[in-house]
Formats: sequence, C-alpha cells, structure tokens
Amino acid sequence: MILRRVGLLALVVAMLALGKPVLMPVALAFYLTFVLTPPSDRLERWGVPRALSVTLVFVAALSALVGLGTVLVAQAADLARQLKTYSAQMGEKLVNLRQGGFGPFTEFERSLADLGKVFDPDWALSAAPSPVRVVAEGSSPLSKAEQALGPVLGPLAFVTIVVVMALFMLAHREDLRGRLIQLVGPRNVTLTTRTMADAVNRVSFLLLTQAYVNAGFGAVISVGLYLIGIPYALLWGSLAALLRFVPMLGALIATVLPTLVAFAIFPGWREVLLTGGLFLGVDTLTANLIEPWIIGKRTGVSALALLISALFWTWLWGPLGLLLSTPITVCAATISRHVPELAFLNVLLGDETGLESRVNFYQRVLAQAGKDALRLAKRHAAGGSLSNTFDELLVPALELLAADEQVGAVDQVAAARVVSDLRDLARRLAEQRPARKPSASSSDVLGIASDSSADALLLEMLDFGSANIGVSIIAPGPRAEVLAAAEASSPRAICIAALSQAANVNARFYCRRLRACFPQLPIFVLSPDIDGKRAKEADARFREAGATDVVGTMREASVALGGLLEPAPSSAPRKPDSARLTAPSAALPR
Amino acid sequence: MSGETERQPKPHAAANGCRVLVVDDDADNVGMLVDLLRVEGYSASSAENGAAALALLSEGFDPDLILTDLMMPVMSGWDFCESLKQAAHYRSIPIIVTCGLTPDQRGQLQVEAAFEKPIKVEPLLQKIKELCGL
Repeated sequence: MILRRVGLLALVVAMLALGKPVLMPVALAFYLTFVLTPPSDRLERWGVPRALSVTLVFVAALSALVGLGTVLVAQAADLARQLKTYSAQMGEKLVNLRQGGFGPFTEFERSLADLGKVFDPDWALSAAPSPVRVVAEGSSPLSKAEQALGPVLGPLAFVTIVVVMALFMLAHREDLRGRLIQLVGPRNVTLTTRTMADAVNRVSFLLLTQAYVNAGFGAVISVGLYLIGIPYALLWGSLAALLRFVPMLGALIATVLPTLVAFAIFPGWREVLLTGGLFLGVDTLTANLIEPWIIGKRTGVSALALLISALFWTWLWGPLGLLLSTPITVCAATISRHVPELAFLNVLLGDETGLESRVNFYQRVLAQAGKDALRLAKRHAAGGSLSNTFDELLVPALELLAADEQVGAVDQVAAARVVSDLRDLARRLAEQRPARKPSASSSDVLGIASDSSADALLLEMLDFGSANIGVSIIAPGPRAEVLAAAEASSPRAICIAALSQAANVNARFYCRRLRACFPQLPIFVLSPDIDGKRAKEADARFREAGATDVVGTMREASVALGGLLEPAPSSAPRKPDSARLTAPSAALPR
Repeated sequence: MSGETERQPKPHAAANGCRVLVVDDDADNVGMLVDLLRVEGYSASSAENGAAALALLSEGFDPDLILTDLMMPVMSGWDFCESLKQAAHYRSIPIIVTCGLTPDQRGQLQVEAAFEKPIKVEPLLQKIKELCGL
C-alpha cells in the first residue's frame, strides 16, 4: 500500500516536471482566476453583465500593473541617476571596505591568498586574462530581428497565454466547474461541489487576507524608511508589499534594494543597519504574530507543509513555482480533506496534528512522556471543566488501553503502569482546582470498581471532578468480598464503574445483588460511551439487572448523582488526594 | 389435530434477564439444558464446541454465565476455558463445567463450578442463580 502511494507520488512529480511548459501557465491562470473572481463576482452582484465585469476587472488589474510598473520604472530610472551623484560616497565606502573597513575579513582574505601562493606556484599565471573568442555577427535582417526580439518573445508569449487563459477561465467559470463535475462523475456532484467551494473559499480568503496584510506591511515599511531618510520610501514599500506574496523569500528580497540604497547614499552604517533592522523586525512581527492571529488555521495547511511546499515547487517550476506554492498546497489540502482516497495528503499537509487529541494524549502516556501528557491535559482543562478533561482525554485513554489489552498489544504490567500514570495525572489536575465544597461527604456515593483498577480510576475521577459529591470506592476484588464490603455500608447512592465488556458481567452481577440488598437506593452504572456508539441493548441489560440509570460520561454522572443527593451535613473540606480507595475486605468509612 | 400439547417449555413468570451460553456437542444435552434454563427465566443460547462459542462471543454476544462440556470436537472444553481466562474481555464470565469425568480426570481448570453427569438439576440451578447474582 505504502509502496503504491510512493510510486503514485513519484509518477505525479515526474508528470509535473515533464509537463511544466503546459502546466505552469495553466496553474498561473488558475491563480489569476482565484484572485480576480471575488471582484468580478462583486460587480455581477451589482448587476454588471458577465462580459463587462470580466473586462472591467481585467482592465483594472492590467492598468494597476502597468501603472505600478511605470511608476516603478520611472522611479528606478530616477534612482539610477541619483546614484551617480552618490558614486563618490559609494566608492569611498568600497575603498574603506577593501582597505580595512572590515579589518578582520581583509586579513582573512590576505591570508587565504598567501596560502594559495604557497601551495600553487602557478597561482600568478592562473590570474592571467582568459582568451576572448570573437563570433561573427549575423548580417541578415531576419537574424538581426531574431537577436533583438529573441529574449522578449518567449516571456511575452508566456504572459499572453496566461492572460488569455485566465480571461477564458474567469468568463466561463461556471462552464469550467460543470465540466470538472462531469469529469469526476455526476454521482459525486455533492462531494465535488463541496470540495470546489471549500477550495475556492480557502484560497480566496488566503489571497485576500495576504493582500491586506501585505498592504499594511508595505505601509509600515514606507513610513519607516521615510523616517530613516531613505529616498523613494513609497516605492520600496510598494515593492515590499508585492514581493511579500512570494512565500518565505519575498521580504528578504525586498530588503536588498533599500539597504543597498542606504549603503550608497549615507556616509555611515547607521542607516544601513536601521533599514535592514526595519525589514527584519516588521517581517518577523507580521509572520509570527499578525498572520497567525488573522489567518489562524483557516487555510487548513500547516506552516511546515507550506515551507516544504515552497521548496518543492521552486525546485520543480522555479520562481513562479514559489509564487504558486501556497495556493496549490491549500487546494491540495482541501481536496484531500474531502476525498477519502487522498486522506494521507491531508495528514501530511493539514494543520491538524497527525493524531487525534485523545490518541495523542494516550500515546504520550504510553510512551511514559508524563510531562507532555500533563501539558496536554492542563491545556485541555484550561478551556473547560475537569469532568470534561476526564471525559475527553483520560477516559478515552483508558478505553484505548482496554482495546490494546484485548488484542495483546499491551501486557498487564504496562497496563498497570499506564493506569497508575493516569491516576497521578488526574490527581495533579484535581489539585489545581478549587477545594471541594464542605457539603461533600465521604458517605455520599459508594463506588464499586467492577473488574479492574481502570474501573477504580473512573470512580476516582468522578470523585475529583464532582465538586459536591464524595465517593467512597471499593477496589476490584473477588465478588463475595466486594459485596460484603458494599453491604456493610450505608451510602446515599451507588455507582458501579464498568469500563470494558469484561466489566459488564460483574457490573450486572453487582446490580442484581445490590438491588436486592438496597431496594430503594439509586444505583448508577458508569459505563463510558464517549462516542455514543454503545449498543442500547447493553444499557437495557444494566437496567434490567436493577440499575436506576446508565451514564456514559463523568459529566452525566456528576449531574445525575448531584441532582439526586441533597446537601449533606457540613464536613471539613478535603484535598483531592484523599479520595478513598478501599480494599473489598476493609471496613468502609461511614 | 390430536389433543397432544406441543412440548414447549413454559417460561418462568419473572424473566431475570440473565443470558447463559451452553456449549456442548451433544444435541440432547444442549436441548435439555436450554429448555431447563428458559423455563427458569434465563435467556439461553448454545454453541456446539469451544470454537463456535468463541466465535459467538467475538460477535458481541455477552453472556452472564457459560455452561460448557469438556469433551468436544474442534475445540475442547479445556482449551475453551483457557482461552476465556486469558482473554481480557472474557475473563470475568463465570464458567460451570458439565462433564462425565471425575475431578482427577478433569484436571485443574479455572472455573467457578463443575458438575458431573448425570447432572442434578437443583444444585446446578442453585449455582447458576448464585453466579448470576440472583
């Protein structure tokens, strides 16, 4: 299976590499369509016909590009002229650099040169000028035209193809969607529609949000450069905003030119360092604080996946691949989220952790990574009640352990260790909660662990998680001893914990016997059913055996028992670690 | 039709809801035990050997008690009992062995009770009631 997937991936990569001349313009046209669809839609909602809205959007986009390009070229030309003015300063700085401006580096360079002379006697000869080859210039008009237009024709044709394709896609987007649905199959129309809508929403959201963030980034850079005193601050800010669409490298590239200008026109180093620092600081703030806050997890792609994707697409398709990497990755992650056959891609690219939180927590406990497990549990507990954390992390961990035990994946020693670690975690979580209400009494509820120490832990968690209920627990043991201990007590309610199927037999046995012994007493069976998948038949059998009710979660148990019990006479508040676990043969506190 | 009444066991007035699995390759024995249990209000099911019983359990059948013979084809009662006590999910199910062997011949079995054939009904029913918590 894995080999098949790896083979499939290799085939896809090979096809992408070979099909670059065709696929890259198509991908770029899709990218442009994604960018231009929202304004075109907006115009159509205002009543503008499709053809006009597409034309307007394209003309506006092209005008903006041409306008910005013209301004950029004009300002760059002006800058080039200005640079001549500062050539003396630049020359002086370069001379300083060569003659010891960066002393240690110059010394290092000299030392290297000396070493080269020692090891290579022909070193001086190798520095001789290379021979120059003279090539006869073509004289025909055709060859002249080819030489003049050759470098321009390729990119021009590429841009034309992309623009025409994007124009077509934008104008016939419904038709394109219909064909795609037909291609996938009419039976999958719902899935395809949902996937496409999701992909369009995510990519459009990403591009739009990036546009706003980058505009803000450019504005801050412009103001900062203006305050530093760098000329053409607006030009550099606009360039930075545009370049920031290129993931990872955009801001770095944008830093180079203004820093060079600062280097060229200012006599000292202060402005150069300030310029570099401004870009570094604002980009760090944007990438690590603002973008995660605004974009959050709405793209559905992990940061690491974006980074790897940027490397992959740059390697495959060059700079344009870098530009396209984010939308392509978002699309791939979205599709893989909806198509079960591509679920492995979602695991690789998606922003959800590889493991479900409950599985992740269990894995950490199983791996004896107590600190990690406690951190996960504390993080979970911070957002809700203790009972919730027990229900959503610790109890599922016990269920997973029971399942592992059943198939022999975990031996008895390891299982006992996991239960002990979970008990320790539950206690530590409970210690951080407010002290129990004085009304809680140890004789409130009698807890009976049906089969194992995991059942006893369920009851301890019930004790920790219920603010106003005290639970006295009878540890698992021979049926006769458990019954003797229970019959010797006088609780206000009984809760029988049954985590696994093995415990159900004993739980029904205790229900029958205790119902006979305490005809009027509420008897609850705590049988975890977090996913709600338990057969109703099992619940019916507990009731048939004498249970008042069956509860599937700690929360349900707390509510059910709390509702039944009137506040008991006040007693001293106790700490969570005082939850009593009584051996079946021992006398119970009354 | 003659005035003969069909030999249908009359269920007990108060069905107790307990499920008992009878494992025996002798159809007469199975019929007798199942009828007896149903009359007493138990819900009784049967399997013809240990392997068939394990298959039934793995499908989700959740008995309160198992009555098993020892001498059976495919999977004997000894192997069946050992499998149950080793499986985390089944180890709590009480087992009563019904066989025609002496205690020495039975060997050491981790079971709750054993009855030699021919089985005395009253002590058997008493033990079943006790193990089911009735």
